[in-house]
Amino acid sequence: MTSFTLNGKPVQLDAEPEMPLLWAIRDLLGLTGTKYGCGQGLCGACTVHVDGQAQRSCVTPLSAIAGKAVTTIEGLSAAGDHPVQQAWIQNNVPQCGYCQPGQIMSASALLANNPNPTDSDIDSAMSGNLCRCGTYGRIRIAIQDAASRLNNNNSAAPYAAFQENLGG
Amino acid sequence: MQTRREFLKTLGIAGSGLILPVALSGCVTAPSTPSQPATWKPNAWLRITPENDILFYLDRVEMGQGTMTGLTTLIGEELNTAPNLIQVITAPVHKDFINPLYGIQITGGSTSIRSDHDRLREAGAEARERLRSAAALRFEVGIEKMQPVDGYIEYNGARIPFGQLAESAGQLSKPKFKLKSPSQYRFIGKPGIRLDAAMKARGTGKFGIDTQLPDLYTAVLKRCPVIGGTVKSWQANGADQMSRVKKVVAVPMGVAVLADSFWHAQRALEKVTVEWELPALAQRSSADIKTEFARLAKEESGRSTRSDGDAEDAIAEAAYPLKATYTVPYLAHATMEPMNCTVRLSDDACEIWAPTQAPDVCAAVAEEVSGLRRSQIKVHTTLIGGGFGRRLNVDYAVEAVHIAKASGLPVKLVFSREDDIRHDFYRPAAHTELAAGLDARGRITGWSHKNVCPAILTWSFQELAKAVLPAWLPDGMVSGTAGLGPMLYGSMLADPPSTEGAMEYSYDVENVEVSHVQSDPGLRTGFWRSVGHSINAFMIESFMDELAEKAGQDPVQFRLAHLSHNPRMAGVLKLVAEKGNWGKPSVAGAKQGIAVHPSFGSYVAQLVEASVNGNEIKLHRVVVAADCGRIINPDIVVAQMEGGVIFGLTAALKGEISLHKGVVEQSGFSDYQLLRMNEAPKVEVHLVNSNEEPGGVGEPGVPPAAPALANALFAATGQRLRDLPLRLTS
Repeated sequence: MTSFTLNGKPVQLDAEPEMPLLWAIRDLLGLTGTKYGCGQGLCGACTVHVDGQAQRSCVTPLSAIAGKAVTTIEGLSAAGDHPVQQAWIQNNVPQCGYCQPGQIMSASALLANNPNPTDSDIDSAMSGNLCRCGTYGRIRIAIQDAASRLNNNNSAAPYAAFQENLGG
Repeated sequence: MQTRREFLKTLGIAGSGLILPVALSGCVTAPSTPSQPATWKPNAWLRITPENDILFYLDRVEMGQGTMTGLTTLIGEELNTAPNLIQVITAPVHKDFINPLYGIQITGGSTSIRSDHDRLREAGAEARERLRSAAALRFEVGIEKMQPVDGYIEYNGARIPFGQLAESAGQLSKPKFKLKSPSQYRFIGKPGIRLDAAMKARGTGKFGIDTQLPDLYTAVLKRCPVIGGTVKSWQANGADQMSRVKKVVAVPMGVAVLADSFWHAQRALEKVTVEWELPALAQRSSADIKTEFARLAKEESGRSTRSDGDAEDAIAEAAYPLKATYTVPYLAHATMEPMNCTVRLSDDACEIWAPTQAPDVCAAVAEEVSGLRRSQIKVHTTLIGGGFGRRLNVDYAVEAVHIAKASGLPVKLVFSREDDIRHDFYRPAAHTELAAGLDARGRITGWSHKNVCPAILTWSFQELAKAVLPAWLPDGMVSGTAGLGPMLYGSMLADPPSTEGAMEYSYDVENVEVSHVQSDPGLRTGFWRSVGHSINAFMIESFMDELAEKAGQDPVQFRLAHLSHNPRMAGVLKLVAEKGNWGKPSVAGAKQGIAVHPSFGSYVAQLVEASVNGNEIKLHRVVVAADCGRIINPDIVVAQMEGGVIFGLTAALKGEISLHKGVVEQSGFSDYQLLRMNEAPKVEVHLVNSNEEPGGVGEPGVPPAAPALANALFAATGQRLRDLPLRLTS
């Protein structure tokens, strides 16, 4: 039995301690926003936050998260309006979109630790996340955009108003 | 002929409101007798409910290429309604949703905007005029005063929702309508937020692998390490006794474990042992395939796919002849979402959830494997975590239906990354002999391009035939005369995918010979983003640089001198040279290379800036100029070009699938690497403002990347790299 919190809610899970967190989240707990890409920690599609730090859930055994706080893309913000998510939408970052939850979890952890990342900070935080559609350039722009939203306190901008503009 | 009501029932969208079939322009089915009126052939559907929901049944799949946004924009423009106010529903498999360019319901070949542009706008315009007429009757004023705006008809400060007009609008006779003129556009040609961006940024978009059903088990399949092998005998060795394992079953192509989670299934599968019946491919390794291709290139003349003048003579008599051999390896698609397929099978029904580019091919193989009738099979298309052509093949559906049948359980088959890399339909390897002759002034007098490579369509035909032949061929005889089908059938006769891009050699040269020596080592091949163009653009545009060097001319000027009859090719080449400051790299120590290639109705030129440190290659910047004809959403076109560049450069620097005794040697992202953020260049895209027919955008960004980089590396090192992936040796 492993106890931890998932997106703020306490969870008690009866599964093998060596079971990777990724599959526990997806297949036993039914949250599918966290993606499987490689199972070896090489692609970053499965990135979640463990106590606020980005971590590859496919190579994180349940035993390693006992008593810790796990956040997935579903729990990053209540209304899906974290500044990083807003920046991702506003800059049309996603193409196929499969890797993007992992990209967003890596980016939001980066900005939480480093509100003004340089290009090379972005490279080192994000190079573990593969994107086959090649959205790297937009990811960089969106991270810079999210940083300025966070630093200018734009995060409080009402999301509804933002949505109204979606249609152009 | 199916009645309208039956058609609606099939779709599960019978109900009230305005339901508008989109007429296939130019494809009205011919009356069988003169007295019968021509009937509409519905293809996609627009539905407006009394509650004012505007529903658009999208008959293509969204895999990142932006088709959901692009096609919805076309309908929205004519309805004068913002695309984000329209609900997009993925259309089910139905014969009336066939892609008119192919004759089957597939998404591929960068065709969606090209095939659907006119008919979707006409559908939107017709609906708009019906709604305006209905509103005019309601207000008792002239139709010219009725303004459609974002789901309402407005008049004199009052407004009526489309939904309240839909019922009566549907009963009016077919109105006259005109498409909006470009000056009236609110959405076409303007950047806008992608309709799928929010769900993808929030993790709420459902991909195939996210499919959840009651009592669903995840299956992992042990396949023969050599593709095509079958099970001779097997032993569970206790796999079926392991925790959370439901069942272990054998199917013709392997042994599957069904469990509560992928991890539990995969862990148990490690215990299973299988003795395989190996296919002939087990005799083949990459080294002997290369030797065989080289031998054939020398000994065989191949089948000619283009023959203008006499290239052989022209080259023999040229002042400066030049020859070179180029090769490219097999490549995997490596989509981020591994192949997967969910199946729920009963005695009289089969439901499939799949991230697939070919839903009706899935239905066809399910029919064959399950023994059910086509009408008992339903395919739900999900979001697709990367297609790039991989999901035009449906091996995952064949396997999943077999496993569902053998286990009697609802099943979600998921490929591991290793399965995905080792059981792909690969971009063919190729060996190409190029020869050309220059006259004394440096003009090309003859060009010869001989490819030795496997065919692509022979592998896909086995699957496609099931979808096409029984259900479609009778109609095809009719449709063929209306312009449908030849793309598919013509392709199957000649396999142009292997020489596409080579056949259409676009420079002004009088004597051109293109030929194909077909040689298939037995590794299955498929459609890989830009297909044959990914092979042939590398050959052509590298060799054009070699010829420019031989002629002592600037690579841009040399190409332009051979493009006097091709203004769109010349246009993007000039634009990229101007925007990229040709001759003046933006980074000290970097060198530039350039390439231009037409594909899928679009023209793309790229300028790559790279520098070299020892044998290390550093990418700095890629400038792209693209002429894609009329543009629906410029930001999506830009995004597709950005992505195409990264996809092309990934293959150029890293992509290689090799075989050892029939087994694919690569197994994951450690040995089949993709370009990462720290390695990716800055990409700048410039679009040509054009009124030409819309071209494709999903694929044309890929082909120029590899030769532009190879040309930059030649400029940097003097080494002419003629084999992909590009590797410097010092």
